Amino acid sequence: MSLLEITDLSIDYLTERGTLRAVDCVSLSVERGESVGIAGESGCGKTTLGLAVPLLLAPNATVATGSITLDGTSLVGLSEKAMDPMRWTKVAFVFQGAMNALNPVHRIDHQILEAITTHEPGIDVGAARARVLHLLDAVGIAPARASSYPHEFSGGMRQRAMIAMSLACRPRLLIADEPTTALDVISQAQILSLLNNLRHAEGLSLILISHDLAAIKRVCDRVVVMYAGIIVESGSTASIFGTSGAAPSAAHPYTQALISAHPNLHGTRVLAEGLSGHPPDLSQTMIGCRFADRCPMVMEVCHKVAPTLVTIAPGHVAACHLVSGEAS
Amino acid sequence: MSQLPDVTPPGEPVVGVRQRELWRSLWHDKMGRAGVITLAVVLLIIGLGPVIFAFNPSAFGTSSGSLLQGPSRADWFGTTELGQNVFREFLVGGRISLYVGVLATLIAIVLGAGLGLVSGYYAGWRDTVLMRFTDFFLVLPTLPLIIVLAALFGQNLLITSLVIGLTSWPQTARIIRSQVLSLRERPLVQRVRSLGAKDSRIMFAHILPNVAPLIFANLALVLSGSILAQAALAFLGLGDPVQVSWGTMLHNAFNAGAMSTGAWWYFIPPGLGIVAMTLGFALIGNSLERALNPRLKAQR
Amino acid sequence: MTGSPNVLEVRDLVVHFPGRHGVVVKAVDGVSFDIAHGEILALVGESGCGKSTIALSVMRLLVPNSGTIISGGEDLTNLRGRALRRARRRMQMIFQDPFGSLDARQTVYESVVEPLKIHGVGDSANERRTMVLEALDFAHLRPPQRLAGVYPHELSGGQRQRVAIASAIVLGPELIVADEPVSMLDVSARAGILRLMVDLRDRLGVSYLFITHDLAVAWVVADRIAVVYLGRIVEFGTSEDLVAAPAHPYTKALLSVSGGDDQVGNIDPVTGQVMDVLPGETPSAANVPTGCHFHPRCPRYAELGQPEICRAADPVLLIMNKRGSTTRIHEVACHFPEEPQ
Repeated sequence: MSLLEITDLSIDYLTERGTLRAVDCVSLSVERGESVGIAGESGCGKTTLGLAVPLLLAPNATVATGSITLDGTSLVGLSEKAMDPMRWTKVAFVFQGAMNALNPVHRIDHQILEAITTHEPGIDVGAARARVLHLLDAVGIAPARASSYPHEFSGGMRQRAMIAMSLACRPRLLIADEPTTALDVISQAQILSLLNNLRHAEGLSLILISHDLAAIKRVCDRVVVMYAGIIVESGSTASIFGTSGAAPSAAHPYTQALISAHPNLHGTRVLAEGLSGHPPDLSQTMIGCRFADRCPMVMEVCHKVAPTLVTIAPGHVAACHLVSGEAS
Repeated sequence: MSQLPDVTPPGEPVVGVRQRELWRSLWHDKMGRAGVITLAVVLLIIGLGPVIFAFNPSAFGTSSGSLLQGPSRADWFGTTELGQNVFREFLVGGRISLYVGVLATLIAIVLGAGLGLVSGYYAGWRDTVLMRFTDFFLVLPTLPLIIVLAALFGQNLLITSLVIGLTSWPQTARIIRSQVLSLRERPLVQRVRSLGAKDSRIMFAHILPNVAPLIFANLALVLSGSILAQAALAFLGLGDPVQVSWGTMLHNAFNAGAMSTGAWWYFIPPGLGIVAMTLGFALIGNSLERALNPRLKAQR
Repeated sequence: MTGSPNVLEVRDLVVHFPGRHGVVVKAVDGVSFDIAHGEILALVGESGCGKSTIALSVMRLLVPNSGTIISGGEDLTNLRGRALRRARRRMQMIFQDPFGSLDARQTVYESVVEPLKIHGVGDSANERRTMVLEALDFAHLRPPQRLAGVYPHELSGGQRQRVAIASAIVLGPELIVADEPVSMLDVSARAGILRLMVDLRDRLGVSYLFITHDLAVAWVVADRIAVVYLGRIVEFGTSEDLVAAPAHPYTKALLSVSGGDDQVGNIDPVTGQVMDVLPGETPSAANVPTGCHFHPRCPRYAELGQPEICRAADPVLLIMNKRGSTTRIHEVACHFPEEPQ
């Protein structure tokens, strides 16, 4: 049984301009110990999808259809009372800009300790303190600096502290939303290495939400590419992005555009084409493929019929008429 | 525009909202709408009243039987202790109250916004000097000042307006200054300066239009406060005794013993009038301020 | 100016800010470079390295503590008032935030015509209109007539940046200083803007000082790259040379994290974990290490047993290779640079 099973999930936002479907019939599963990346640009719905799992959606968002099952428990429709104990202990979420969410008037070790004692009420304080130091050590923060205040830490170190806090109650699944934006490139690499090491050391399952394909490539086994609320492609990172040995086998034109937009310093020095235009308005009904307006390889059928996800190779699916044409 | 809620940069103030959007958000806000309706009713009454009902301006009561009488067919709001028609006094008084309020607010806004703009834009030593100057006016007490000025120059609407304006502008200056201080950090200012624009151009063509909505919001609140201040001063007898405002009416009513004899038609109308006008502007001002602050907006 | 081959010459630029408790923040600590006509020079470094400060100094939005900035034969370093405003016609700037750099209350037309009005260019409104539409067209905002009447909030991030670019080129500048012009844009929109910038260079001959933290972006767009660390240039060469044979350990580290490699950093033989590319964090510019600014984090310094010279002496930018023509100079500021293979 998968650790996390999302089936046909749709999430609507109620805005001044009407109902907006931010996530449309998305299915995704994460096995134990697996790391899955959700790739996409702003407005594709990846953050909404990530927030849905720990039921942290905004008040004007509702789950319209579908189910989320975490370790056998169905989450959609659970009350706050039922969901709360599972947050931090079963699934933890590191928000975008989480490093700024630390309480500036409390010391770092105190805040992590508080997280532990709040969610594990009966725990022995000594044991909890030991765990705090162990966690900080695991993220590369020396015991001497554990009692610092957040403002005494750099951005990178605060992010490490946030990761430590998110792991405080030993969750099975960690969802990290853009954990490295707003950090220096060197610090970004450090955080990603950290996540990788933690994954292997603790057997953690990880969902990494990011627009940075390089980050996903480094940390994730599988990747799910989202565009305008739907999944357009999904498969192993090795096959979709390629490795030093193999070329990328991304099938969807959007995935290909994303990949070419990240210059490969080992390849030829060429400027990518890029994509003109912008994603469609999700509050309007969309006919045909959502990417059709911007697709460099658009065909007649794309404007009329929305493509469905078809299997291209074992474990690799894409929603594109180019592909289903070949497959059929 | 196909933007999802999570795409707007977090914490960015929505400056540059156009007039129409401002009006729309005002109308959609329950309190803002209530303010607009209240104000519209009050303004309509005092605006159209004297046009519709032609009154003899100084028709005093002819017999003692017509003094301090309750509402009747002839006098809708009854009569004063001098036999005057309270309704007429009410209509005129409203205009006077509004006049003083508007004049005081104009003084306050022009001084306050002007100073706030210059102080916030230049920052540095000019800001320090201007802010200390502002502090001086901030601590000026309204009451003693008006008493002194009234003793020197007599009690009239102009003096009252001036005093209220001079003691209200520091608040405006501070609010506008803080918004300007944050606006000047925007890449917009750097960009326009790098194009070669002079300070005056940046201040008046770029920063001022972007703080204009805030100035309007503040204007409504200052107007509300000015009307109330004028009413209070008039009630204390420091207003213009000839140009009767609502506050003066209350003052006269009090002196005529209307409260103790129960001549409610004399003091309820001006009292309600003051409340309605003050509340109307305050609700509008608060609603506009909320519309401009996205963090407060989220709480609506 | 037709005389000089360079559109910009910067010598020994120093910018220090007063910090707290009397500490001096050495944002820029002695930087020199030239930009030739039609050249794209990239300054690459992480946040806080001083690259943005260099850009603001070149644009004279900041007054440097010392050093000279020469453009078009004119010394801009101490210009004020009208003379400075006149000089601004030659140099324009594009900023990182496409939303914050445009006036939300102005239409696209109003934003782009403004520089013309400021400098009194164009004899009639019609002439100015033609210039604006032409600039919009150059910036790939088509059809220009329709887009001219639109407000920034109706445009995408990429389009807003194009409006900023149009307002920068309408006066026909010789140099554009672009401070992280694509960092806040979606990945798929970046290529369009980068292509536009190169296109403008090819068609209009405009040079760029391109500021970025992304070495890969600098590599595809720029002719030459200067790597900046804590207020100093540590390596300087053509994009190809720098990426193919980086000589400074910091450049090597940047390269390994920007490359899109599967694995970054070596595996620790003991723990089996992936080690960090560079230890620690960049120190603050208020607390610059003595000697070589980079030595506390330098892997080579550690490997070579912490040589004294790295702690004591500032390394100077020295030419590493002499490939004959002066356009392929590769300089590095390191006591123990990696020799080219």
